[in-house]
Amino acid sequence: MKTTSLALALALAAAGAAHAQNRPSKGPLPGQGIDWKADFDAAVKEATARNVPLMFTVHKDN
Amino acid sequence: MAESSYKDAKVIEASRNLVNIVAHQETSHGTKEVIVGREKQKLCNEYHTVPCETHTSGWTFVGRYFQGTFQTPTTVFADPSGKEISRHVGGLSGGELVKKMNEALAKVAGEKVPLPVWQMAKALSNDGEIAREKGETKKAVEAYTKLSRLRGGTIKADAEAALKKLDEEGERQLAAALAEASVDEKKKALRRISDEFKPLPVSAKAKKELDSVK
Repeated sequence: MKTTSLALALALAAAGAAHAQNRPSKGPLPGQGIDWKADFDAAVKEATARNVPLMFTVHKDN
Repeated sequence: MAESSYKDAKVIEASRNLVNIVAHQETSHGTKEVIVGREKQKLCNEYHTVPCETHTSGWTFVGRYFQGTFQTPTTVFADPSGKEISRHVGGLSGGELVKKMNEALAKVAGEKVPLPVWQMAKALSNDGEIAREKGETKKAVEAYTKLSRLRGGTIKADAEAALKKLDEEGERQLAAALAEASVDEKKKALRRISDEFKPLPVSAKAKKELDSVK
């Protein structure tokens, strides 16, 4: 019984470690972070309907 | 800048008062696989909540604000019509970015619609449209009536326009009901219009007609 429990515990620990290694880098999920838009015209349409400003930010890889 | 500032809770909160576009041509920073609901999605390692296609698509609009060579990062703030009101060249800390966002917000007069309210409005508008298409008048009236209670932007005006159309449809149905030869059928139709179109003006009219039918 003890051997079975130990084997099960080791298997669970190994599975947990593997899962942790595959886990993506931390960051907000969709709906939790900034709502980035892909289309400028749709963004202007939404900004007009909401009466809010637009933020257009330009980046390049370092 | 992106890695730190765009994950900042205060930046995320402030961003809900704007419409945001990120333009970034490269995708070498890679993606991560994330399970959203029941679906696996490949999301950008740099911007987290979107696939890389969102920021590469954003890059196709760079010409709206930039000509020739330009420095990156640069952040442009524009009014709701897209007309530039300010720009900042260089990186911004979370706190600085929130300040810039709020400055842009202050330059737009009138009542604004934050993202959560906008999402609620879109859902109600969608519900109303689907119900209208299915002929579920009562549900459509309820959805647009709820929508008309939300404030800011064009939400109220859009909802009132939709309710006006429904009221006009009710008027057509009322005319047809009044033309019914059978008193029972007339009563049935008037009762239905009174119920389904509440609280639109045509509902009260139908009720009045119903009360007058002997």
